[in-house]
Amino acid sequence: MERISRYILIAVTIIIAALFIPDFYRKATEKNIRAPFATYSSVNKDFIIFRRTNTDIHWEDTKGNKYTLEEYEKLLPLTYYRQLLADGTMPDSIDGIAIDTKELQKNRVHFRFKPKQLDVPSLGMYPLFESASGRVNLSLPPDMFRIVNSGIEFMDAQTNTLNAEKSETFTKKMKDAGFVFPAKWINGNPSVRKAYDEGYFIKDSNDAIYHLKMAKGVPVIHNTAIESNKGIITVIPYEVATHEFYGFAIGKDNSFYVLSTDNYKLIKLPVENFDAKKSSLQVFGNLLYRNIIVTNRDNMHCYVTNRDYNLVNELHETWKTSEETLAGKAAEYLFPLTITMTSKYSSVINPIYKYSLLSIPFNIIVLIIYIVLLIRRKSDIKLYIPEIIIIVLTGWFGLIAIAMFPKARKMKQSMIKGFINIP
Amino acid sequence: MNYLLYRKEWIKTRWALAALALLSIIIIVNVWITVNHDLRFVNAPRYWNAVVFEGYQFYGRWMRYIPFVAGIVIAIVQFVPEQYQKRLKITLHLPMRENRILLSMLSFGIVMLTAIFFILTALLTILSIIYFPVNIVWAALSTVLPWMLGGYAAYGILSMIITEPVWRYRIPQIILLAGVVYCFSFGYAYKIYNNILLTITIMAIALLMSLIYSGNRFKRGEM
Repeated sequence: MERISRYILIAVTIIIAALFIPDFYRKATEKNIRAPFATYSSVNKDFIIFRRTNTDIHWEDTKGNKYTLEEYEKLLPLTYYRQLLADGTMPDSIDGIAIDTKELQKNRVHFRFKPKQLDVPSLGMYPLFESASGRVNLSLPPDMFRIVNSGIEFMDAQTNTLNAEKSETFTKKMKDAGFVFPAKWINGNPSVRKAYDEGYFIKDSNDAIYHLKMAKGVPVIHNTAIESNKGIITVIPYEVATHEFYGFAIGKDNSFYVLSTDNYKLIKLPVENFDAKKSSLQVFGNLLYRNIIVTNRDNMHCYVTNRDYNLVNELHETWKTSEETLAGKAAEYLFPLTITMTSKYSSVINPIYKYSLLSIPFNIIVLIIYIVLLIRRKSDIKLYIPEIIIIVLTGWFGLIAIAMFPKARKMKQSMIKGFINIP
Repeated sequence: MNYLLYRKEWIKTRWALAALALLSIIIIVNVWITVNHDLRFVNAPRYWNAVVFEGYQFYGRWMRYIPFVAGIVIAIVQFVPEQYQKRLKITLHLPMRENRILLSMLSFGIVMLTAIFFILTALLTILSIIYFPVNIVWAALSTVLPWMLGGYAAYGILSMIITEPVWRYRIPQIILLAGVVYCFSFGYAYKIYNNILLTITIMAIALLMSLIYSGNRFKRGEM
């Protein structure tokens, strides 16, 4: 029993060492590597890349021409129109299209996707806004809904009781539309800070994706029929002023779609190098273009499409990550095991264990030191086989743990003799 | 014999236990009053929205420390007197197997910790079921649970540290205790531990055995 508790303590010590020591090292050595940011200029039809290091900030195009902030803004009148209007340098038309600032404002899109969004722990309660109140601003409803096996339930927040009548009405309407309870996921944009409300996209237990909203207190439910062949893993609702789409959708094969308001048609974006578990994706839209930026750990891809989502231009860049610097490479030789509790790809605790085979030579050196110590102490090495295995595998983390929790020493011969000699 | 051993533990810990139980009750009553107060000033849908979408933890920040404080206090009142003047030596000379004596002492501590955690959980459940739907109650409980597991782990490691006969070993062990407590005390959102609930449960249970290691070292008279 003592041995078991000792090995537990050694294991936990190694885990704690692998959690903290590499992290201290990373914090001490990590370099700030900022991803470049690209936008597409409607004036010179080229990408303008924003580069930033700790000492330098500049903008340049793909031909290497550098720009100041003022020049950069002039190249992007569809984005920086407010500044250009204030300066009096706003062009009257671009590509023959007369510029109307109201239209510019209305056609702006700024959508961000991060892998974290896919596993936000859900509490399973959602507010269903009144989408046709006739008011300019949305307001929080007095209740929140949840979907259980038997149907949809609206819980009144003031009294914390079930609104049975509303729940029954909605459940019946949903069942009539073919919805099979319970739901696999419920996605909406539960914020009052948006122009209007498009409700929720809900996957039922038969994998059909439904669109639910409330208009004048009445449920509005449609089977979007988008799941049929595309393998959609999620829909991310995002209301825009032009009402041209409901939001975006991600396919199993990491394809990215716009979910159009035209009968829930899915429009595949010409985006490659996107991995829903690891890439962040941003969509910047203006009157003429959609600029889609996929950013990974060590590369960035920028795709520009016209308003029909046909590719106009693309830009790809790669850079060295912090792991590829000298300090980053050294870490792989120094630390046999690295554990991180949280990652930027997940919003919950999802430990990542990284075992580095490159650390084994260093582990062997640590082992030699350990064996020399054992020999000097005249210990019987055969009794220390488990310790030797631990050190080969976990290097100096293992050595620290073994030093903290030493093996029980055998009673000294003299002590035993003394025992026996008691008269 | 077991009864007498438990009675000895009870005499050592009863006042600390009463204090911890009282502290738990005060904290929950405070949460209760605060939620009630806030609901009078913020409307209920807004409050629910803050809990569900902004991760507002209605049970407050003190809740997170109680399980660790309980684990630490019980370990101290149970094992510091034993260590004082090496009384543990006498305990270990009772006509019982040494490991069994140590396990009995541990199980007493575990039962007492469980009692404190039961008070906390029961009161928190009763309080939250009044104001929130089960989804929120469940999320709150599964966020609080890892802290309680951390309380057990802290109790296990600290009882080992106190019983450890050699001072220079205690210092790195205290650092280990801090590291373990850190791992169990995240609370930046609801349900964040749900993916690794099983792992941390096993870890907490395994760490409860730590006392056996240092108890045996003590028995052998390591120095």
